[in-house]
Amino acid sequence: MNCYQEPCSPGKSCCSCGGRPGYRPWDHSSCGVSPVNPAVPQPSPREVLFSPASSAGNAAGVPQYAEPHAGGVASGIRQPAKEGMPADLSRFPIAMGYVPVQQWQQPYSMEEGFVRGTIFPELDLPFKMGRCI
Amino acid sequence: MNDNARTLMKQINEASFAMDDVVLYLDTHPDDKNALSYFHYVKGLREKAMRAYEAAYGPLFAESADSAEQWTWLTDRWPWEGEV
Repeated sequence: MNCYQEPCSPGKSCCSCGGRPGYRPWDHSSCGVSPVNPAVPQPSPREVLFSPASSAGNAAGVPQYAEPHAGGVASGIRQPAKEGMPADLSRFPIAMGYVPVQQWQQPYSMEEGFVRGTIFPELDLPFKMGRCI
Repeated sequence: MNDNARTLMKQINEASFAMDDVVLYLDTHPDDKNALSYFHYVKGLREKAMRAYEAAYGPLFAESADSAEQWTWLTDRWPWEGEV
């Protein structure tokens, strides 16, 4: 398995694997770390101007992060403030879609899973829709 | 279909669905040991339920017809033909 020789460092796009063998920055299934739930918080000197999304304005599935520390001079990529975008955008190359990786959890009983349409409680996401008036 | 047949069929359906779902998970997580052992577990349950059903009510698939005397796939009751 190829190993990225350079560990994660400011200015380099990476997930939080930190150079473990076989990890690829765009492929979080190889390190098992979802960009939504990074295993290690990434201290970053780059400042990203970020306006937190209102819950109504957030596009479904866009990973949300805590706001970056305020102040300081940007030494990396500075992003314009954008609603609904993660703070450390440079970790995520553009033009790619990202999917949080499912982890194994205790499944439903077979009876329950059959009724719910999935054996995975975390995938049991009933579609609740209001009526159009 | 009598109650016992219905119960066994329910178990077959539930185990089969659980197996299909964990197969999908394993396709993206081929080294997940927990998922693998769950797969073998539901696979075993499914086979047990199918054999129990077939012993009482005849083959579920043409290939599980096991009589050397008669082609039971055809001669046993169809599901809609009522109680055994």
